Amino acid sequence: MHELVWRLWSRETGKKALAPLPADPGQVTLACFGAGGRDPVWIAKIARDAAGRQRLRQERAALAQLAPWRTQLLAPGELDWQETEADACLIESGLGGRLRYWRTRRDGLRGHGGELAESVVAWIIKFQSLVAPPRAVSVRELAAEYAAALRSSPGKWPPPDWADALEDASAGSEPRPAAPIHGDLWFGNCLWREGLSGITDWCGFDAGSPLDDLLSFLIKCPARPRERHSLFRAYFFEDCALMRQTRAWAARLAPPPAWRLCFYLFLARRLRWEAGLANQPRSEQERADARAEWTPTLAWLRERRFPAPWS
Amino acid sequence: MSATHANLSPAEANARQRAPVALRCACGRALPLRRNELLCVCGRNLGARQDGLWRIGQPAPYWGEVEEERMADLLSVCRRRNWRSAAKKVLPELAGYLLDARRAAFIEVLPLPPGRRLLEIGAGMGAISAELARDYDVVAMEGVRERAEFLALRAAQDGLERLQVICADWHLIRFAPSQFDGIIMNGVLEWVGLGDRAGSPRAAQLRFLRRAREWLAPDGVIYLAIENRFGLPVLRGSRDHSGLPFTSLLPRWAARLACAFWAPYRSGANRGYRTYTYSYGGYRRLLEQAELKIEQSYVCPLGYNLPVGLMPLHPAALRFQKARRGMARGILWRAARRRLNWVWLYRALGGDFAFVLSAASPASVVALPSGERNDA
Repeated sequence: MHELVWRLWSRETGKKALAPLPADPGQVTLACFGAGGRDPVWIAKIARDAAGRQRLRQERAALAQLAPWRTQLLAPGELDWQETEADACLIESGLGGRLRYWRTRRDGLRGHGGELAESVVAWIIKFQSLVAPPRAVSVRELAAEYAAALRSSPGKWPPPDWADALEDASAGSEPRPAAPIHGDLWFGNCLWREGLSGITDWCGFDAGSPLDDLLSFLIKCPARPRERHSLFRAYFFEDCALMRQTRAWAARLAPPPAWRLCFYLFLARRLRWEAGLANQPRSEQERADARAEWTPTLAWLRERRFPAPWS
Repeated sequence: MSATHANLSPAEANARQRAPVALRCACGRALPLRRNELLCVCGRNLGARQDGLWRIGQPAPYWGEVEEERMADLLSVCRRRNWRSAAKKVLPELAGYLLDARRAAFIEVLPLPPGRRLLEIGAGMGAISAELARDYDVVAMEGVRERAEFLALRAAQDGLERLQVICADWHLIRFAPSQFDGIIMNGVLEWVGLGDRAGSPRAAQLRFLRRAREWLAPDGVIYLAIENRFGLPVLRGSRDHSGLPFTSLLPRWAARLACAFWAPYRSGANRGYRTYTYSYGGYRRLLEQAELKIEQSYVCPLGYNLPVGLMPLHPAALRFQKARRGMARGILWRAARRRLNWVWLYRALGGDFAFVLSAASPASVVALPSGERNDA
């Protein structure tokens, strides 16, 4: 047991339990439960490799920046931190709630799914209005940064013409400041209890496009891998109830002229992450899976010369 | 347990770590494992160190994952070249088992900070001890000479200075009391009845647990990993420790009868049915009798030899952990998974259990009966 975890664990009295949670390789996540409590008292994240330590540092910086609005933004608070040459350990306050699943249909997100997506959109608006991005950059500068990252990819994937598409979208747009983004907003990081009750995993907190978190939440919705490509088209490009619904949400976050750049900026960030060029290393297998999943979508977009979404 | 842990000052903890591990002679004196010989002033010779391996008393008869001849081959190749390449060459099917650092993943939930002293009983070929010795002072005890020699070679070649290897049978060795902060028993308790044939296997297991409790520091913990007698793998027909399927499900007398007609499994010592496992309630009663308290209990979904994703047998923790396991495919399966988080179900059908135990009361040091020897 990590020394910091042991210190906190020793302080807890009564019947207690420690639950290991799923975590990336090289990282350990433990949730501590006290006597009779249904929510974790604290959550410990331990990273032993350089990339994991860097992610924990980023998460810690994010939690420090979010601290004044922690309750409104349903974010955890930092309880303790220790970094040595061998590892880093971040202890966060525990958040209650559970994951919820829904089924996405072309006739729109209804019931659970619609309710949850509405809460997420409201949360994103609140988040963007309260918090400043961690670095002052414009969306165009971010586009140039991601394009450079995609071009530096050692393999042939992501395809190099993606950087050109991104620059093309950037050239036609007006300069806008970047917005704060959670960076990994998907249903696995949203906890629910009578509404949205917690947003976890803040290691991706960064500056990005205002639509980034919404697009991330939609694209990583619960769906079978083989459904993802058709859902992608239904969300953004086909005239259906689902597309009209997502367009209404997008309109609340960014004006229509910015959509194309925001959309390709998000895709570039996503591909950068899938290819392991961001702050999280990806295994050979994970990269191959991502490539298989994204290739039909990218080819479809390329065939149509990178169209604007919701048009 | 936690209160005493918290009360132990760093100075006290350091002082304990600095004192060398000691054996207890039949005359009652403590003999630290410091020099190369363990000679007591009373004249008894408890053992000696040779090639980095402490040999205390007679080793146990050979048994193991591989046949004795292949083990001898492995040792001879190990002496000539690195143990890793030797393992890959001679035992390719076991290389993963020997090299996988995740075998010691349970340490993340064991309330022991780095630097404490651990004893692993039945260390085998050292996958767990070698991994733990990076952060802890580890004493690895193994009864089978060949396996202990392999482990000593492994420690020497990897430069694991914090790992001491002892070749001794648990029922012949006597450590000085209260000197280990943690004792690891990974798949050991069920085999105890084979080495100690006095009385029933349960009595042998009780003796074993009481002895471990005696060696445990007042604020220490025991990690015990073992199969569920009625677990799902057993119900599916996986081989019991007797070598036959379903024997753990039978009444003990019927299992003994079945085993009377079966050739010994793994070693010649495995005669009769003496490898008892229990249900969750059975373990609780056994541990209570040994004056050990269950601090935490887990089900090992991938078996205790790969203790990753341990599932806590605590209602809120289990529900929380299962909710974060990602999405199961299919609505029915998802609904079932949401509802199947009853702790009693995992207690009843979980394949392997992992317990974190503490002493329910301070251990009293038992005088060695005249028949028991440390210098067997």
